[in-house]
Amino acid sequence: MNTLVKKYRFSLIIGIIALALLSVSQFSKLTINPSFDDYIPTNVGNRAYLNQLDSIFGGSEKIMLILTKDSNIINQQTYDRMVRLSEELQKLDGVENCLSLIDVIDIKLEDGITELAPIIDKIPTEPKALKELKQKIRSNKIGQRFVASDFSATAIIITKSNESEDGVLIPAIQEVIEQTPGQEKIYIGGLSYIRHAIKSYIKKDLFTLLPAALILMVFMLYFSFREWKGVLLPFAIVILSILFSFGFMALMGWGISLISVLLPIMLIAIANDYSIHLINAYQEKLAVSPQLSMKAIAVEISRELRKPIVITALTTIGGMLGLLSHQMKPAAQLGVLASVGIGLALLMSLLLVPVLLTFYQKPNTIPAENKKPLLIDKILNRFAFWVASYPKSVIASFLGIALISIAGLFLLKVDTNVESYFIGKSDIRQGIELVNEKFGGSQYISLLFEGDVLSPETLTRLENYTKQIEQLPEAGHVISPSTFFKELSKGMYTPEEVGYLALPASKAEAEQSLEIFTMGGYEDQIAQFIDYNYEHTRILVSLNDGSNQAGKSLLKSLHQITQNDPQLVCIAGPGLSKIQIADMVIEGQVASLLLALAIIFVLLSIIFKSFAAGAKGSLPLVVSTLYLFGMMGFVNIHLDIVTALLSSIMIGVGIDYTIHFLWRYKTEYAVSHNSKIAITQTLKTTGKGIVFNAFSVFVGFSALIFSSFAPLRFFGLLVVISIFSCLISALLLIPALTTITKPKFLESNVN
Amino acid sequence: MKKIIILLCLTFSLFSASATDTMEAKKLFEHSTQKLSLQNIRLVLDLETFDGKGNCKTKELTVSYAQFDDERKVLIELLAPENVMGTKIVTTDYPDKKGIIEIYMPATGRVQKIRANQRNLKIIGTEIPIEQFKSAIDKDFEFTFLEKTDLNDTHCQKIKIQSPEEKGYRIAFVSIDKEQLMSIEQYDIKGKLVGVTEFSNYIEVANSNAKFFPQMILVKNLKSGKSSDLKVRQVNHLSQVNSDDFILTPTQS
Repeated sequence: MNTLVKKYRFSLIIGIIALALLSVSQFSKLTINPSFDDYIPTNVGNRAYLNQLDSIFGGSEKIMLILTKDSNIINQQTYDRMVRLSEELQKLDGVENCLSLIDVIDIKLEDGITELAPIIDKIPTEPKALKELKQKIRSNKIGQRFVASDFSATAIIITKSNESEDGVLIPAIQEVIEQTPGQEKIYIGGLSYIRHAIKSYIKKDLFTLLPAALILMVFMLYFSFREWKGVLLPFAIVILSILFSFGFMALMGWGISLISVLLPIMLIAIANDYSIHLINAYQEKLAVSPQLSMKAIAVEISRELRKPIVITALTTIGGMLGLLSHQMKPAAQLGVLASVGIGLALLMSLLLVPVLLTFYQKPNTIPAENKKPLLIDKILNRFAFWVASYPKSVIASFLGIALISIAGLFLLKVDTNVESYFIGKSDIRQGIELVNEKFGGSQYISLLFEGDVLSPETLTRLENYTKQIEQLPEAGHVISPSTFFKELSKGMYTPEEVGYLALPASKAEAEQSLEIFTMGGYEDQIAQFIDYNYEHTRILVSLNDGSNQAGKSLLKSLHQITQNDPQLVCIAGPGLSKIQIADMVIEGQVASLLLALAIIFVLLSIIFKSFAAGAKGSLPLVVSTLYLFGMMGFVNIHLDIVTALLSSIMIGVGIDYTIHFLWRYKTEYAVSHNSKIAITQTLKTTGKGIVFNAFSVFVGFSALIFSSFAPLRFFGLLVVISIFSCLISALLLIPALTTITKPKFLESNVN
Repeated sequence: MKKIIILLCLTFSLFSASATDTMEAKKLFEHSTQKLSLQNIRLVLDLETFDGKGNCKTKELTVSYAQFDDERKVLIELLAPENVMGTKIVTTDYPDKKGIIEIYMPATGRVQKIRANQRNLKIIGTEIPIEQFKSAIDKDFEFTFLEKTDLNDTHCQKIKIQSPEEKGYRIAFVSIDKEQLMSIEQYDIKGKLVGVTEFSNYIEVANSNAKFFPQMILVKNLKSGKSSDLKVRQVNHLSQVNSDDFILTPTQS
C-alpha cells in the first residue's frame, strides 16, 4: 500500500477511469427483456407444448382492447369506431387476426335459406329492437366472448403472430387507437401488452430508483461523517461498481430484466459498506493521532481493515453466489453481477479509497467526538444486560418465534403471475381487472387433440369436455369445435329437426360444413380451433383469474376431465408458463438457500478454523430465513420471481453482522478473559458499527418503495425486515449463545 | 392575358390527355378480360392450397359458368378428396339483389340455400375470390396507365385500377402484344402489396369465339401467407347450356 500511495496513485486512478469509460462504452449493447418465459427451457413442459401449438395454430397470444363507456356500449358511435379500429388493426404487421363483435356471425335458417350474416351491422334506434339485439348477442355463444354481460364494455381480440415483437406491435396498436378517437375509454390487456408495460416500467424504475437511492445514500453518509470526503469516496466506489457491473452485463450479452433493476440498489446498499468502515477508521485515526499525515493514515487504515473487510466481502459474495443455483437465468445472472460489483467495490475500497484520501489536505479542525450517549448506545447497553442476565430466555424467545414462523411457512404461496406486478389504479391494472372480470381473462389454455378430430365420436367427447369445463370456477370463456358446429347447425336445420343444435352425424358432414363455412370467407374463425388439414383440434379455455393458484387448479381439473383420452396431445398455454416458472422459483429458492448457507458455513469454518463457528455463525441466518418466510406466509406476501432472491441476499449481507460480532468478541475476550465483559464491550463498540452498517442497507433498499412494481416494493420491505432480523440475531442470539456455550473457537487461545 | 390563355390551353390539353389515357386504360383492361372465356364454359381443375405455414390440401373440382338472362350462375362440384366428393355449389349473381348460394351436401343429402356477402365468397377452399372471375367492369372504376414493364419475359402494360368502394387499389399487368391479363396485384391503402394473382399458359377455348383461358392461376395472399395453385386440366365450351344443370336436387327430404 505504501508503494501504491507513493508511486502509483495516479496510474491507479487513470486505470480505473479508463476501465469505467470502457464499461460505459458497452452500455449501448444493453437491452431490456421483460419476459421471463424466455428463460424457461424450450424443450420441456409448457414451453415445448406451446411451440407445438404455435406450429399448428399460429400465434397463441391474445391482445385485448376493451372499449368501455358509462352508458350502453351497443350504440352507433361505438360500432362505427369498432369497425374503423378493426380495419386499421387488421392491417398491422404482427396481427394474425383481429376479431370483435362485428365479426360474430349470426347463423340462422329463415324461409329455407341459411343466413350467414354479421350479428350486428347497424344499431337499432328503437329501444325494443335494441333489446332484441342485446338478447341475440347474449344468446350467441361466440358473441358472448366479445361483450360484457352488463353491456358496459366490448372487446376487440387480436391474435398476435409469433414473429411480431411487443415493442413494435403495441406502439402500433396504440397509434391506431390514438388516430381513431371516440368517446369510449380503451384499455389494453394481454400478456404482450403487460410485457411491453413492464419494459417501460423497468426503464422508469432504473431512472427513478437509482437517483432516489443515491440521494438517500448521500444524506445518510453526510449525517454519519459530517464531511464531504465521507460522502464522495463511498459514493465514487458505488458509482464505479454500478458502472462496472452494467458494463460486464453488456459484455456478457445479458438482458436487463425486472430482477436486474435490483442490481444498482443492491450495490448502493452493500458496496459502500467497506469504504464506510475505512472512512470511519480514518476519522478515528485523525482523532487519536492528529500528528499523522494523510498518507500515513491511508496506509494504516488499509492495513488494519484489510482482513475484516475481505472476510465480510467474501461472505457477502458467497451469499450472492447462492443465486447461481437458480434455474431462472436472470436470478443466477444477478448473483454473478452482484458478486462482480461487490468484488470490485472491495478492491476499490482497499486500493482507491486510501489513494484518494492522500489527495486531501488534513482538516484544520478534527471532528469532535460526540460524548453524549445516543439512543442506540442505550439500546445496546440494554441488550448487553439481557444477554448477560437472561441468556436462556433470549434463546428461548428466538426459538419460540422460529416455531411460530414454521407455521407461517405452510401459508406461503407462490405467485409468478405478471398481472400482479402492477399497483394501484393505473390504466394497466384497470385493464387487467376489466379483462379478467368482464371478459373471462386474456390468458388462454389450449387442450390439443390429434387424429380423427372430425369424427362424431371425437366431437361428442369434446362436447362433454366443454360442458364440464364450462362449470369450472376458474374457466372464463370456452371456445370449442363442438360449440362451433352446434352454432352452425342453427343455419342448417329448423328447431324442429333432429340436427338442430346437434353435432355433425358423420365425419363427411363435418368436413363439408367446414368447407362451406370457409367458402363464406370465415376461415379465420375456424382456424382458431381446427387446423388446416383437420388433423388437430383444440378447446381454448381462458383463465378468469391470472393467479398461479387459479392456473394450477384449472390445469388439474382439465387433466382430470381429459384423463385417459387417447387423442389428447397436451394441455398448454401462455398463461401456464407461470406455473413452470413457479416450480423453478421454488426449486431455485431452496437450492440457493442451501448453497448460500453451505458457502457461509465453509467460509466461517475457515475464518475461525472451527466447524462449530460455521454452525453457530449460520444459526442467525437460519432463524432469520424462518422469520422471513413465516412472516410472508402470515401477511400473505407471495413468493415470486423477485422475492425468491431474498434469502441469498439476506444471507450475503446479514452474515457480516455475525462476523463483526464474533471477530470483536474474540479480541475483547483475549483482553478481559470474561465473556460478559467481552460481550458488553463488543456490543458497545462494534455493535454500534453493525447497527450503522445495517441502517445503510435499510436506506439503500428503502428506495425500492418508489418502484412501479409490486414485487420490488415488497422486496424492499422484506429486505429491511430480514436484515433487521439478522441484525437482532447478531446482537442478541449470538451473544446469548456465546454466553451459554463459551465456544472454543472464540476463547481457546486464552484457555 | 396571353399567359392566361396559354395556361388555360395547357390545362385543357393536359386534362384531355389524362381523360384519353383513362379511357384507353379502361379499354385495354376490358379487352383483356373480354378475351377470357368466362361464360358458358366448364373447367376441370386440380387445386393445391397452402396455408401460411406451408400445409397443403389438394382438391379436384369442376367449375361451370353460365349466363341466363340477367342471372349469372357458377356451378362448382368437388370430385376429390373423398370426404367432400359430390359436394355441389351453385352461386347465382343478380345485377340488382343479393346473391344466393345453394349447396348440396352429400353427407346430409340436403340442399342448403345460403345468403352471404358475395364479396367474401371464395372458390371453395381457396384464396380465389369468386368475384375474380367477373367479366363485367364496374363503371365507377378508375383506370390509369402506369409504366410498361416485363413480367415473366412478357412485355406488359401496367394499369392502376381504383374502385370507389375499396380503400386500396389494384395494378393489372396486360400483355401488350396479345392483350392478355397476366397478373393482378392488390395493394392496401398504404400502398403495400398484399396479394398477387398470376395467370399464365393461356389456351384458346374451342368453339368460344377466340376466347382464352389461363391453364395456370396462382393466387397469393401476402398478408396471411396463404396461396392457391390452380391448374386447369380441361376447358370445354358449353354450346348448349341447360338451366336444369344448375339446379341442385336433394336426395333426402
